[in-house]
Amino acid sequence: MTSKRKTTVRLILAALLMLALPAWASAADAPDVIAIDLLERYYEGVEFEHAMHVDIADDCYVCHHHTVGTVTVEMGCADCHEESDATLPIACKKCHDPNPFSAAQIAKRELEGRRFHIDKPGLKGAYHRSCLGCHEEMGAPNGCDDCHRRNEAGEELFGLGPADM
Amino acid sequence: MGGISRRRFLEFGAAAVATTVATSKRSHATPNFEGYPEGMGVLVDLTKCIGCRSCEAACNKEHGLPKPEKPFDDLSVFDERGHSGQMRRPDETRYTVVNRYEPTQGGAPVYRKIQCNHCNEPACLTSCFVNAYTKTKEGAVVYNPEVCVGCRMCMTACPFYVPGYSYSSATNPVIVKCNFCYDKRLVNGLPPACVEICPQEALLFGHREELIAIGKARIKAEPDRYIDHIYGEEEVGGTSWMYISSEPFEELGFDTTLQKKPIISNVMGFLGMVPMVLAIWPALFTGFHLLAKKKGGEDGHDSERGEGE
Repeated sequence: MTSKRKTTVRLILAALLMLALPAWASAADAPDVIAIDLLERYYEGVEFEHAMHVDIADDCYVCHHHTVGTVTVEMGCADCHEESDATLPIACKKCHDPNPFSAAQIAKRELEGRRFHIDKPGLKGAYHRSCLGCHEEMGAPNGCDDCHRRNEAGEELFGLGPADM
Repeated sequence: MGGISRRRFLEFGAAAVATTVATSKRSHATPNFEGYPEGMGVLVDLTKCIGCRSCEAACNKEHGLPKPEKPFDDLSVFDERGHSGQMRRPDETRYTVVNRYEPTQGGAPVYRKIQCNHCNEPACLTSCFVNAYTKTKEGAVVYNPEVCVGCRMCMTACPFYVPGYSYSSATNPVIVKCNFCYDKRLVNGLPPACVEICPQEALLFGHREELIAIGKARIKAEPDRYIDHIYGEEEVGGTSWMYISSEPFEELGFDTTLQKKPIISNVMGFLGMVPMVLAIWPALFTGFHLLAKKKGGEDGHDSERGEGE
């Protein structure tokens, strides 16, 4: 009984939180620095300076498409999301899958990828295309090792490590 | 004699020839094999490749290939040229290479990854007389070194000059080429190592049919950016690996003169005749010979020859 009540309370709290969250979603609430460790197999983590990029970017939609409630002008997005409110998933990884070529993701892509969110890249692709595309345009650092420091496995992979011997 | 008259034998022979010809006709009429419906592929978007060579590194690790002289982050390899000025090619030490091309119109360089394109109707498979090659239902063209006799016909047959040969091995040289990571990954539903590591997702893995649809959609969405062609959709009967590009394909080392029909269609008519010749002719002409001999005996040819001696 107690555990059931606890669950109910948690559910209500979660629901309240979900209602409240979109209203909170402004750049000021986002962490100033976001640690990204997607490529930890070969690289050390990347510290993404969110606050700095908020100052530079024209608008939130440049990276966040329609998810933060700002008006989006991107073709494709605007058809459905021109006036949509902020959505709960804000972080890139909530929509862009870190494992886009798994059988499940390919099946999902084939099922819905023709109607909406067409040709949506996976998380790694989304990061690199978004970051690198802009960095090239803005003349910002765009070499691999400008952002990524290889770990031991990475050094080995690229033919610089101990396996070389 | 033997319960079969000469007339009946000739009728039978003629019928057999007719059947064989009809059969080979039918196989000619069969539409070209367009790949297994569940076959996987990769769509390479050359506008997205940044030439980081991660795919080369991942391939090297995946297949346990020897470490190259220059590390994979050394971009000076793009300036390497062979004896006759050709760019780097896949060989026994590397199943895939990335090359850099400077567009004649100017602008940013274009990087192109080369590997086996895994044809729907592979010329290597066609040319191999010991059936060392298999086109799997997953889309990969795989090679079996156990049965290979080392004739290297596949190397000359391949329209993309992909298969390499382990010339370094004095005792057991074999063909070496990209196998789509078939045994370790593809059969387990995993993407090839090069696709998995590509930071830009310039390599898109999926069912071939879906990739063609995606390629067409990208070209349609940005017609000013892309050349209106998916290289590999139709070349030599279609390939599992396909490319889309912002620069003309012929400027990026692609052979744009390749026929649309599979290579095998060039020889199918002739090869269709071979079984007929091998199976029917010996029986037919042996029959003629026997009949002629029987008749000759009655005419007394043998005795005539005997008299001549």
